[in-house]
Amino acid sequence: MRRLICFLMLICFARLSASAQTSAAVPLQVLPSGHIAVEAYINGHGPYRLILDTGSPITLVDTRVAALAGLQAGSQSAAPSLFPAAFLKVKTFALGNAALNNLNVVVMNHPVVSILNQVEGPIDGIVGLSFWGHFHLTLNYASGTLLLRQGSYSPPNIVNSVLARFSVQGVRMLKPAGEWGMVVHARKKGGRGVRIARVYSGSRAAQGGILPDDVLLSIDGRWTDTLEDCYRAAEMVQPGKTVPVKVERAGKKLVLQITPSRGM
Amino acid sequence: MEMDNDCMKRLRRSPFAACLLLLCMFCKSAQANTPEWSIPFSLSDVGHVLIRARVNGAGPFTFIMDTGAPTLFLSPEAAKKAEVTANAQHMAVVQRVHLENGPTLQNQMARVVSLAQLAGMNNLNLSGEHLDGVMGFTLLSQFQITLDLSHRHMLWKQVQYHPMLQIPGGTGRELMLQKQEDQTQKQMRGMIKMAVSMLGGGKSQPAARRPLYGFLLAGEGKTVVVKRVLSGGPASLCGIEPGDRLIRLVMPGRRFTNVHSLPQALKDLNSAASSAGVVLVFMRGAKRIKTTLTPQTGGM
Repeated sequence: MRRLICFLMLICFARLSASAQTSAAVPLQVLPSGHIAVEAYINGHGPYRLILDTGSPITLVDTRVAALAGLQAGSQSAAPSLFPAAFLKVKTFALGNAALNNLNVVVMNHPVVSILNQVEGPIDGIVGLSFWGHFHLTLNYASGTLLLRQGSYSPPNIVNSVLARFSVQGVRMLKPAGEWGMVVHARKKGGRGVRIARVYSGSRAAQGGILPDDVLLSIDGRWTDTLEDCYRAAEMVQPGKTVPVKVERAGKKLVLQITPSRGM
Repeated sequence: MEMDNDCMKRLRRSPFAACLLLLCMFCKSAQANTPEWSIPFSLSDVGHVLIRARVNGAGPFTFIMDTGAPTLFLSPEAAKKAEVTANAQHMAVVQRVHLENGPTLQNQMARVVSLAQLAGMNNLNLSGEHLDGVMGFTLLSQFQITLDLSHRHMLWKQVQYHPMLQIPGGTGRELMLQKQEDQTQKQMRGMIKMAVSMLGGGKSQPAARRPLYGFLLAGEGKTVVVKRVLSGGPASLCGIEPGDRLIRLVMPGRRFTNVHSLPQALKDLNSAASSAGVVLVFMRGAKRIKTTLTPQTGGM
């Protein structure tokens, strides 16, 4: 019995120590307005109180904090000159133990931050996707916890992305990432899903059990109400990955497993 | 069996061990029973996490997942489609919000307003998708959310949390917040209107869909080779075979291009949105073959 207890305790301890090594627990405060306040250190200065905002592509600090943290114009990066803000590179930006070097930060007195500053006490800026997008994030309002673990994703420079949107001519082209081997048509009578018009013999769609006249309802959990939906969903499925595909056949809903192959 | 009996006897003798074991079992079963969902998301061209939901059965609508927003925001157009009626303060209770591949939430608080930011992004077609609203605190806080942008889904686990709802017209503090927010929206609308007039609005067009060719191309140095052909597919029907080397292609309405690399060939082929024929020139051994491939519209 002692051995059993020791074993159970060892498992619990092992789980705790593994998570402590790989995750940074960031204390957060849920404000009465529903915003999440976190403490940030910029170039070793701080803490400053910022809003964690998954709706903001950029990380932003106000001019007061920029001055306090010693953000210099010399670290300015390329940016549109007409924009009423400075685009700087920050040497280190940290929430708890989660830190990044050379982070692009916008310095401006944003009107929303100013409002929150008046209503919720000192708020110095916004932590946006340019920071948190680098991490595997777990957010729990109920327990007041934010866990950040180093991820593999590197967010794009949003200023460049916005400028690119304006330079791109023509319409956006949707293309499945892999080859499914089937043809989809819009439903004539309306209703949810698209109709499978044809399944190529020996294709991955055929191997997975899709039949002509099935109504395709979702691919990997994404609704396929329209042809555009269907293509957007297929864009997300990499060749070789097996995903659930929901179809309606003779009034019954079925979930099939399909693995698209490489090809176009 | 003897071992099991022995173990049970020991457990009876040691209440501490029995309690610990029960606790472990309870924790495990409670963890297993917590509902969780794999919610698909996409990342917009300008860095917003987008999730979809049906509202009162209508939609799907596209929302920005936004911890910087206090509640669920619906555009007036989406609210109309979903038959959501707001009061004089633009607040409403939405009967059903069905998250894509996720749960259906009942009686969710929402604000029905035209947010200047969303209107601006839609007018300038910045996002790549039409945006119908924002999901904020009152909805998001009912879940533990695990998100990694290198994945295609995020994990939403239900938690016992009942967020306080902010109703404009409540306390003086809330009124102040609301008033200032409305003022900011007004300012932003002016700025965005100016941006739309400068940059040109109304660019939003439905996306095009690349048709199916029915082959797999591979790059071997500077040559591009057909590795596989879909049986009965467009490439197969025009006589293309595995091993053929693609040397030239003519996309509809364009001049020919000599093929020097796989990325270049894929870029050209991926730009076709119709089933108009593509002229391809191949080498099969020493033989030069010219053929017209008619890609399959709706094929994938």
